[in-house]
Amino acid sequence: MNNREIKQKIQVAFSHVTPPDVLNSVLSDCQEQIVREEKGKVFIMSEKRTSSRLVKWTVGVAAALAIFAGGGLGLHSYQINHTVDSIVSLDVNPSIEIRINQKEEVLDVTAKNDDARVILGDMDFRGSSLDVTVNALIGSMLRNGYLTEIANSILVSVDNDDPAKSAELQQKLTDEINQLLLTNMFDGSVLSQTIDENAELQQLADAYGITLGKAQLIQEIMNQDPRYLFEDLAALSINDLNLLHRTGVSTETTTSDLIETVGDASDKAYIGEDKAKAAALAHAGLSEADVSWMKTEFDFEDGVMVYEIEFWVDSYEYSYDINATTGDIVSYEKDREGKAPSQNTANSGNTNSSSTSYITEAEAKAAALAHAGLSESDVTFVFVELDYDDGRAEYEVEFWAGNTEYDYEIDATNGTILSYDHDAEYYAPSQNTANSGSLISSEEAKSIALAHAGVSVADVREFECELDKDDGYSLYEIEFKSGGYEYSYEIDATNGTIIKQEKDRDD
Amino acid sequence: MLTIYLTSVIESNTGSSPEALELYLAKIVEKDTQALADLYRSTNAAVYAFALSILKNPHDAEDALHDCYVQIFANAASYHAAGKPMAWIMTITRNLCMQKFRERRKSSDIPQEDWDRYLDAQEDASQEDRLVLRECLQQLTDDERQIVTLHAVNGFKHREIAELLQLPLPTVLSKYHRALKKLKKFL
Repeated sequence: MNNREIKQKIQVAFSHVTPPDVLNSVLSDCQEQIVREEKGKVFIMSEKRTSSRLVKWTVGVAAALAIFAGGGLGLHSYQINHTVDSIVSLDVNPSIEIRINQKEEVLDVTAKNDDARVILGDMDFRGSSLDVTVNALIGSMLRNGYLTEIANSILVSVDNDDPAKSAELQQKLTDEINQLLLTNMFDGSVLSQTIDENAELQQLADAYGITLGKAQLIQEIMNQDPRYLFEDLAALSINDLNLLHRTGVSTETTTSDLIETVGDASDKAYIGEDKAKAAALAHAGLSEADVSWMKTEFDFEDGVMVYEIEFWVDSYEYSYDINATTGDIVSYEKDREGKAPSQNTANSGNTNSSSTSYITEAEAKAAALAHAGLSESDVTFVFVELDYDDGRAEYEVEFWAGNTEYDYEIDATNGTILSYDHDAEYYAPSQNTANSGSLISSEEAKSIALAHAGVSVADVREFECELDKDDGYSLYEIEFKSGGYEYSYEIDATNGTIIKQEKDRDD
Repeated sequence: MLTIYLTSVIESNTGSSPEALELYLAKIVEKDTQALADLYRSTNAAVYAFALSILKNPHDAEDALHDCYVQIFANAASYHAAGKPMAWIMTITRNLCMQKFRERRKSSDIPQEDWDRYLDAQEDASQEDRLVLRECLQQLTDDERQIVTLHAVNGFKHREIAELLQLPLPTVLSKYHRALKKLKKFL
């Protein structure tokens, strides 16, 4: 069974799952939304009228503080539990620690650094509810320019002796902050975690004047990449740590179960991957078409954020560190030993230890390109992998040219093309298909397919042809067998264009 | 022939043109609930399949499906018409699923018997469909399953999947191929 067949099976299987019908409840919720907005016009209207995000926030914060003031008056009417139940910390660059009792009422709020003192100002949250406090603090961070388009990450950490309670609180806060950001159309990134009590980490946190939460995030990043120093990372903002954390997660060495992320860290403070790539390629005297594989990641080297760029040309591996702020080349390396990561065969060089000799990946790729009538520079991405299918070694070669995806299976011993498949994804069908008078005949479609396959009518078995008008355009679906192969085609019935073609061993 | 025929049925099922979807979204900004219903009808299968593939839990996927359209209704104004409405909708779906994920982190996935019961209740699904769905859920990692669903079911290009899941393209490709290889063993 080839990949395309599996893909089709999956597609079919999922299409046979009946989604539950929730339309009515969606519509009634939306109706409520409309009513609520009518009632809450003070809020919503002021949001709509202004275009400035900051003004919006001021309104929100003022409202939040008004609620708080109301709550404060009733402070003495009930017993307050003075015992600390949970510690919640918010880190952006300002680091703030909030201690709450069992009822989620604030006992005290501590600024852990100078930025946090700016945020807190003379606000007093004692006795107010946790969500009002978090609301106001995040509002203040926005107003004071700590949460911006170029640094959009917030770290939420929850510490409670009961892990279930921690998880619940973490979830609640994350949702609340997300909702807050969403309604204000701020494209933020919220990292959240529960804290594992750890005396050693607490000491480190105290030594660097950061929250235990930030220390735990740093430790997590150091677990992913042990080259980092705690000292260096402690000075970084949460946004930069978020970028590094994402790098660690995406390289899949470890999957982080400790830290949950919603939204992406902003990289707008930096030059961007494209510029970094261009700088590296320019230095190497290469163009993107020359390289077979490329990887870009954030890294932190010698006190600066860098883009780490790796690419391969033939058997050379290039790696560059590009200063993420200035675009300068910090360091580079060209390594002969390198081999492209898709190559899971033997080492570089010539290993004749294996009994059968296979053609190389480059040869397999060349065979596929030759068959497709394309050159290396026409294709955007090439995937080559040695695979064992039906007891024989074959290369799977896949690449894109324009909107077309090409799949080949190539015999690894002699370079024969075993099967191929060209698929124009998102083929834009020609219009005005309602008029069936303009369609080509099935005979014409047949001859187009046979001519393309290079097969004469006499050699064809099990020929099937069907005109399909389902998708609002008309196409001929053709299948036939010939000489040990099974062919299938889709042909645009208005103009004879081949939309899909597939050739596979008939087994 | 059969598979090809089915393929086109599915495409017509989940694939209203981006222009049509953007038209709905524009009307939804004006709080047009009829347009929301139209959008729902042309995209709910895709949203549900994706939610199911992330959450592996029909109840949670149903919640995500519901919440997705409520959010679309509330936030349609933040969609910037760029010809990729499905990518936007899928991003919302994914974010909602991730929230759900955290909510039920304490509880484990639903037991296998419940899955079997759920799959058996799918009247349109053949024996083979059920096998395919079961193996997708059992054999694939979360990332692999999302990538496979987005590509095979929703017709996203690998490049678009990389963008949506914020993974490098080579990672998406290698995970996709690894996933198909795993499934090959069982199907």
